[in-house]
Amino acid sequence: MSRSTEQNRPLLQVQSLEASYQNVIRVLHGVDLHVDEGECVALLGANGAGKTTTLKSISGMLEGEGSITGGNVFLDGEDTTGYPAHLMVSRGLVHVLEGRFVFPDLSVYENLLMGAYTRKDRDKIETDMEGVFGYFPRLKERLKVQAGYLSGGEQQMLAIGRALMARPKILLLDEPSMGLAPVLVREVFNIVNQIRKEENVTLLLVEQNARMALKLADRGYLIETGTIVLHGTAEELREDPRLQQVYLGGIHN
Amino acid sequence: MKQSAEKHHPMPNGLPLLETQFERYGAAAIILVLVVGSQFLSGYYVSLLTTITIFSLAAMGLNLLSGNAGLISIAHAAFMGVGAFTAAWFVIDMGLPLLLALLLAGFVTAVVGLLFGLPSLRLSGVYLILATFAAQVILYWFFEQALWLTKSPDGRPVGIASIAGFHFDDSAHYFLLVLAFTVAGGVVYLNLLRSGLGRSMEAIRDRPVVAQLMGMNLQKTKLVAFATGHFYAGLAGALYGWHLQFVATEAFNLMRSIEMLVLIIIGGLGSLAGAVLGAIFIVLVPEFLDMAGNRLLDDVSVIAPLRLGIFGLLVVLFLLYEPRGLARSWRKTVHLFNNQIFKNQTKQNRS
Repeated sequence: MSRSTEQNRPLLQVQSLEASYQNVIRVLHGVDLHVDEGECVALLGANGAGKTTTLKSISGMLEGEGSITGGNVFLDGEDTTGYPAHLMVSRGLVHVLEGRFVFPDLSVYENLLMGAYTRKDRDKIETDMEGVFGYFPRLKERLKVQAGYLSGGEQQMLAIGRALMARPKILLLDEPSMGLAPVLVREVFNIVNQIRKEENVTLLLVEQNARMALKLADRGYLIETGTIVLHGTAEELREDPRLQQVYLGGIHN
Repeated sequence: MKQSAEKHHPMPNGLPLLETQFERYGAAAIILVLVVGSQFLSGYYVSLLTTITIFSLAAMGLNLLSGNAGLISIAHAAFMGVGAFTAAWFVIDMGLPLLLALLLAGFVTAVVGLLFGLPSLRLSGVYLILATFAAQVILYWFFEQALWLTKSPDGRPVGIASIAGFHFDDSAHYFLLVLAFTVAGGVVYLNLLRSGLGRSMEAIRDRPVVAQLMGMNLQKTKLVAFATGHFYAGLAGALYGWHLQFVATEAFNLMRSIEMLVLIIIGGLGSLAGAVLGAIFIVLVPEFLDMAGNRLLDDVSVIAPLRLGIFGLLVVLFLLYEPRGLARSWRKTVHLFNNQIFKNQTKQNRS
């Protein structure tokens, strides 16, 4: 273990989390994980394993489709289990949903402003927006374009840039690579890496693209049918034969 | 001026109320023409103008609620009725001054709107429409039953409006009062739209999920929309009562509520121009149809039933050919003019 829990207090701690949809379909059967401050943690797993449900339970976005039926979520030491999403955002946890949810009728600029919705320090918003343009110059080029007309990659960039506008302490990224061309996947990951280093943002990353995710992450968890089955540093996971076979495409590394 | 031209984008505090010079001058010119012109018009045209202005005010509320926040209501007229009856009650039964009564009526309607909004918080789409349908039916039933408030199932006369001893005998004077409230309502509406609250309403309409992710309180925003939208309804309803000098229960029926919804769809959802243009349309088109009927058939009873059919047809045509309403057509025209008339000025600004 590269970063031990004794040194850094966990910014996010999830304890035996259980969740189900419509009180019938149990998806999570006791998920345990923690993310330390400044860390990047990858949550890996196949379709339907419960990756997204875990993120949604943490960020309060499960409300409406399912519910947390057991366990706890602690953010910065505070028990935030079952808090609605807007309270989590004001506590510094921002969730970037899978599938590039932008406001299609708003311009790029307005979308970015939306990200700063919870902030009170208006005067610093402009500087932060310039910071976002530093990472995503393309957003600046398309500032006045309606977000609905952006390409898939640009929308993903906008979703991440918008999340940054909230000045998050911890960012939950759900499948940032989904549906993107390989070139763009690399670009998005590079930028996420850059953001991580420069902004000191803690990351919890959900990915199917395990290879990419493990390049970026310090540690990783493997989730299968609602429980964590494997846990270790990124290096350990990369070498793990089980993960290699199923998620990293066989023998050739 | 120079500074804002240099900037790439306006910051949240700096978004202008009206974007282009054409709009700014245009709005001022329209208000000026209305103020002066209305004093020279005959009673019939003043009455039409007053109705349009009141409907514009009411439509701003509905446009905020349904156009911007996406909470579609077919009970707006019923809430106008709440405002009309409570204002009448405040003035006639309680002896309050008119201006205070108008504002109080707005607040009462906002509270009633909130009460009906509460159970609707978890509803959206068709289900919300049904809930507002229930509100319309319940409120209308209430108007017919609560005689302590409405005096008769048909409504109650309210006489001529008067403020501090000044009687609005001349309908052109009353129009000025209505215009003042509507302009104020318009300014508030534009301000709301450029505020974080306005943005969060549209966010909740388009992407409720993301809106929550941005840290917006879904329920609070919906409730604010309910309260504000119905404040407009109450105020407009109250003004409507003194315009006709009679608060008629029938003026607040389901048909009128649907008409209000048609108004904002034809006018343009979610914009001030939409509310005003829609109001002009909804008041003038039946008037023209009646006139045409008079000329052609000298029998209004033939054309009257056709009104609804023609309305329906127009709505369908608008949905097909101009789904963003008259406001969109207006904007196209404005851009055309703007490019020609203000060409030189914009060049100056840029340099």
